[in-house]
Amino acid sequence: MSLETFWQIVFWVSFGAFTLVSLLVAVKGIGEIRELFRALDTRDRG
Amino acid sequence: MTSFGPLDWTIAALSLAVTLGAGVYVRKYVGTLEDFLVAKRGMGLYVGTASLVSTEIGIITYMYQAQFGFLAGFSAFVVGLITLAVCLGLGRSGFVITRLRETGVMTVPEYLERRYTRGIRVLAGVLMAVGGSLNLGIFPLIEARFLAIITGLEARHVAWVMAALLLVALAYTALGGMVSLVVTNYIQYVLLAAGTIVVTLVCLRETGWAAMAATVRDQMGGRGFDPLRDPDLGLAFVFWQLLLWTALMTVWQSVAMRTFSARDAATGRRMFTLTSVLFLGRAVIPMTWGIAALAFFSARSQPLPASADAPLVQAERLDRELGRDFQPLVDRGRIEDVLPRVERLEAMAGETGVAAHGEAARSRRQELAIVAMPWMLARTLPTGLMGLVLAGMLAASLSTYAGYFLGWSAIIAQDVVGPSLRRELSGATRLWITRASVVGLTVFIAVWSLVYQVPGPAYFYLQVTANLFMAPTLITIVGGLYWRRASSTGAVLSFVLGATASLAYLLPTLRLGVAAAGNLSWALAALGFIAGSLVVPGPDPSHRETRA
Repeated sequence: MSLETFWQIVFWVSFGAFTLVSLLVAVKGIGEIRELFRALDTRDRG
Repeated sequence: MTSFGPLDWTIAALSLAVTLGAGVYVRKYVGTLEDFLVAKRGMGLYVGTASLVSTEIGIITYMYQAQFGFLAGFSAFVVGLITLAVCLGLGRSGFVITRLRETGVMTVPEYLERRYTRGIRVLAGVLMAVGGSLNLGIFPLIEARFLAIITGLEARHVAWVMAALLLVALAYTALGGMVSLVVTNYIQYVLLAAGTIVVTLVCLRETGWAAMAATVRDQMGGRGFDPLRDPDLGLAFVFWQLLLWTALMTVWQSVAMRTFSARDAATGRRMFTLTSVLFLGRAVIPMTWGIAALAFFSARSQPLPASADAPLVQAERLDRELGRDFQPLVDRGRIEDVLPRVERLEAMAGETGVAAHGEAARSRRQELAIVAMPWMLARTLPTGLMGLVLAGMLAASLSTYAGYFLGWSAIIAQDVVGPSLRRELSGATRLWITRASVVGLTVFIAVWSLVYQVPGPAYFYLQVTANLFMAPTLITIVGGLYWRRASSTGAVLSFVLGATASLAYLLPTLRLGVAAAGNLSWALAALGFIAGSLVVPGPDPSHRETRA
């Protein structure tokens, strides 16, 4: 495999992975923020 | 040249307003210093990842990575592979990050006091504060250029936009600390990821992979694909990057704070595994934009007519012409008119061997490399999409400023000012000092960005200022965690020698290459640490831990 092909694969893998993981972070992150605030709220009331 | 209009301003302003609103709103959750600095150590995997990545991606990142791609072609991608390998390795092994997280510290130098002495903590704190501030100090300088090109604003107006950006970051960071950062980083991550994907698709549509590869092949030959054949990279560069990225991902304060803020050490490790692919993209994607910009403008440039003049005469004439035309043409985005002349000057300088011509061509290519990507975007993005991309870029920068403000101000307050006062400070006083440090830091970078001229590519400057303290910090922390003989004498020598080598790069008169300065810094820091620890060994660390 030539270096040219290798870098092309590296690019597509990085772009694909960036897109997929970003989607995952966007979807799962909301729940985690709610959880953190619940924890901080409980501590404040406690 | 740019189609940036009222709709784009509205989108960008709206994104800033939402971020500021969310950041200020959550300040009510900040009660203690621990909430402020590490969000009660309650950060989950995905939010932690968003926070870590958005902090380490700003407009500056896109600019210097694109510059690197424009200059080195696909060889630059090797840095992406190094970050991937380092992040994955750390995530799998937990090397340094797990033990450091388990100590319960809030800043990196805090550990140095527990393991060595208070003096080492202050010394490390001072070097981190100086190196970190110098590093952050050129961000507005470079980012203002991006904003000026994309929006078409005049320089004096861009300065106000930058000032507004800094004030927004200052406001919510000073009020809400890490709690604000958790929320705003999440919003910012979503925006910056969307902007990154849009710009990449635009680059691919405008140039295409085949054209990019052909341009690199024509203009750079083998060095554009093989990093070992590039005289600015090579094995020494690769080796230094491996060391530096290991340090950046373990003891760089803004990254370490995310590890400290994680729910537990296992979450911290998983965060690194997830981050590894994003960090690969953080390097490779904007580098591709730089290569796309090179292909975009090369395709639009006309080759210069052949000349019968001797190479020396041609080089002198080109240098004169570029001295007159270069800046006005670049300021108007006419990269395609300048590029062939710079290429010809490079070729003539190669033939004549006149160093001054080679240097003139080199500095002009570096200048083109930093502005080519934003000029390509300004010429290709339509209204509306431009606003979305700018919103993503502003979000990226805001999160970087906020994260770095918090990171470096925590160091200044916790590790420099606090320990130097030689009395126990209350939590409220420490919180006040941290907030005051955020304000001080904002003022410093606003001033520094106005007075400093960056020597060479921004990527190298940023890495060398980081290297000012990264090599000794990682070495003393690894030594402290894993080597019983490690001593404070070794730590002092490590910090002094490591910092001296990096400072040498920042003094242009010494003409020290970036990889040489980087590797020298690591070698001297390691040598000083080992020699100092062997000659004057420290007390048994288990006794010190008990005392702490």
